[in-house]
Order: sequence, then structure tokens, then C-alpha cells
Amino acid sequence: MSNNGSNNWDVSYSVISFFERVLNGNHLVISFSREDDIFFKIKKYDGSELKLLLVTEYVLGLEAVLRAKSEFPDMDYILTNADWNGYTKEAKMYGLENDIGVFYLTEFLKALKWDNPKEYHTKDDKGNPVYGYCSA
Amino acid sequence: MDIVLPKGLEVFIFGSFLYKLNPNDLDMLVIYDLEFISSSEVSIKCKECIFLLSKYFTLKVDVIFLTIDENKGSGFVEKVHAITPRRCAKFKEINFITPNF
Repeated sequence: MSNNGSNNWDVSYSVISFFERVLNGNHLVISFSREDDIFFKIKKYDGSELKLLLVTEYVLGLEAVLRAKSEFPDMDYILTNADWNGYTKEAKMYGLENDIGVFYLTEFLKALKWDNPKEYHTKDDKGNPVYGYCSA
Repeated sequence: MDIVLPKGLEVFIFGSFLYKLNPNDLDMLVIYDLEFISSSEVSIKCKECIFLLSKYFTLKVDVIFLTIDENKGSGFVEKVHAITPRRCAKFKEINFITPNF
């Protein structure tokens, strides 16, 4: 059952359809489906499946990751759409320790190239991790 | 109107609510102290406050919850120029009360 049409995270249809267009245009994605409006099951070229929650938090904090996980227990990725959004260091670290990929959009697209995308972490020129709420 | 806030919370307002006559929503930032409240319970403990504000302003209230450290690390308050409700004229009839126990 898809149960699409509304969600509790204030993610608009334009954001959802933009993300669908991004997935459709990505050669690493074989197929995807959407349930509960914002919960994506994405099949990669290597056969792996990513269960991703799409949100639009300006800054994705630890509280939002925990709330997302309690509402979507199968979730193993959370993505805050748009590159002017981001996440906190604490949210990323919690994700790394609990097998949840925490990303903003362009970082997620780079992570897709990895065998285990959850481990991908944007780094600066010196190799130090960069945490998401960096733009704006 | 008095609104009771759980101990360990600080509320900030940001976004179009501050400068638009007819904003679409009220953007609120809640910074919480992990010594008093956990990340998994903070949104539940704020439900009544959010409900009361939404009813008072007849607006949807969008809330971001950050720990003290998350706010320091992200610099969110400074980036979005968030202010305390005390500094916002639209909040002049609202008192946030934190119980002392």
C-alpha cells in the first residue's frame, strides 16, 4: 500500500517530485518506489536497497533523526533536501554509530557511488569531516 | 497568556513571522539542555506549547529542536537571526514560564 498524498513532515509535493526527478536521472539508481509519501525504497545497480526518508529540515538535528526512526523504523537513510539545508555533527555521528545515513542532497548523490553509502562523509581539503549545516 | 515550558528549554523565533504582516507559518527553534531533557522526549514535552502558540496566532508552527551543542556547532541562531520571543512585539501578551522544580 503506498498511502501517498500527505505526510507529517511538511514535505511538499514539489520537493518530492524534484527528488524523484533526481533519482530518475541518476545512472546508479535502477528503480525506486515511494510509500507514506516521503519514504523511498531505492534499488541501486549493485542490487542493494536503500530505505530513505525525505525531509526538508533547515538543520537536521539529533531529535529529528530519532523522531524519524521512531516513525519509520525501517529507515536506514535520512536526507534533508536542498543544499542550503544540512545536519548537525551530532546527527551525523549518531547516524554513523547506528547504521543510519544522514545526508543533504549533493552529499547523498556522491555517497551513492560508494558500496556502503552510509559511510560517506564530506571532507575538507585536509581530510577533516565537514558537517552538514555549512552553507547559507 | 502563560505558556509553561519544561525546564532546560530556550525558545527562539525566526523567519518570515518576524517581518511579514501575514506570515504563512511561525518558525520556532527550541534549544534544549540534555541535562534536563532527552532528544527523544523533547518534542513530546513541547506539544502543548506548540498547540497553544498555533491556536493563538492561527498559524502552523514549524519547530526545529537542537541541543545546546548542536546549536553552538551549527551557529543556527546567528545564521537565521533568531531572536527570543521577548524581543518580538507579536509575543508581548505571551509569557513563557519555566517551573522551578
